[in-house]
Amino acid sequence: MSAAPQVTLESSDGEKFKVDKEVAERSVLIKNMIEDVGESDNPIPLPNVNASVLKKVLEYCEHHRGDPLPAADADPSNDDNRKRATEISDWDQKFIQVDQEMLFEIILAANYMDIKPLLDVGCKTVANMIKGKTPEEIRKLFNIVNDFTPEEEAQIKKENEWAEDR
Amino acid sequence: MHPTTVDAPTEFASSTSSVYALPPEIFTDIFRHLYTDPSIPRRAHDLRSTHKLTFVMLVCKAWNDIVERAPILWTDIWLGRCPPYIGNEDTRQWLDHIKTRFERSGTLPLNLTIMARHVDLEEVSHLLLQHISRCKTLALRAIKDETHLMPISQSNTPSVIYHILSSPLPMLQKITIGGFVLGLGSEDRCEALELDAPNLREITTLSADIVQFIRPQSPLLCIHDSLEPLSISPDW
Repeated sequence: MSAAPQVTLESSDGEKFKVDKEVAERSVLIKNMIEDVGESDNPIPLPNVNASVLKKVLEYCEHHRGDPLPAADADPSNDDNRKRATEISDWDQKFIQVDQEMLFEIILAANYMDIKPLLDVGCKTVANMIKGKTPEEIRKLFNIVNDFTPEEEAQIKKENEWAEDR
Repeated sequence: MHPTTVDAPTEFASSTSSVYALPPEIFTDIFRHLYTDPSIPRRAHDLRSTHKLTFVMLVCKAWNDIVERAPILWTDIWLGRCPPYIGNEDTRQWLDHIKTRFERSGTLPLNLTIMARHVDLEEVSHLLLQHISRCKTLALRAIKDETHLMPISQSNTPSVIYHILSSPLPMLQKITIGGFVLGLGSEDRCEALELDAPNLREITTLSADIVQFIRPQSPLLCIHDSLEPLSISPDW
């Protein structure tokens, strides 16, 4: 049996990763690059992804190598899609248990490399971090400065939650 | 991959937070997960017209901007209590708020819920008529134990509801009609209403009420030709 075809990816800090083409092609960006350039021994440069992040991304792609590719833009108003809104599989949950900085870098890499399921896992994870928290708790969690004046804050409350029950 | 946004939202206040590395379109995605998450509580019979992401909008100006600029985060429009049932609010302001919500949803399909006994449908009907054709789901609901709240029954006559639902509803897939909503007493008579909703697939209601509403004179439902499979359940 012949070995699976492989490609080499090069991170922004110059580290090279040799992976199965099938794994690399979980990234639509890389798939398109391979299709455009054709088979080549030259490494594929990924100038927006450093080695530590690329390693994590490839770990995800390796685990999901056989998964069906995602359907284009699922309708979020569909009830099934709503139920799945913040659900994450067990493996993905463990995979994404990283510090905030790495989490955001994985999201950015997934966006750049066009790996929609990974982008989804990252976004759902942040959504789950936000879920159930007050604005003040969210600010604390992400170290965000409250830049509203009291008047602006009151206006938003009025516009969006402006009818207290009597 | 997300395209870059055309309109740059408010910049983040200076901070060391690494969350600021994420572009607005990623935040829109994150907020969309929250917006469509059924486990985020909205009281079953919310009368406050609360936007589900108010807690997100209050975090900082940038997040507020992101929510306000994303039509996908305004597709669930919930009309709760209108004046005079809310304090410090006149009808003009209330209508402006509702208009803003419709505008923010752009041209996307809508999920519209009206707490019908506490919304003056006559007052808001011109706005509803502008946007009703975008409704994908429409719910006319009421609270069962709300008799002490004095519903606006004088304005919500069957004829107003009839007028609204007589509009073409090309996108409508599901309609929910609550038992108390229509306030049809034995003295009320309205003509049978055949919804112009070629994509309607589901009606959820107390079966007796839908019979009364859609074809009050007939024991049979008036079912649009395309209305298959029809689903009627009492657990609205």
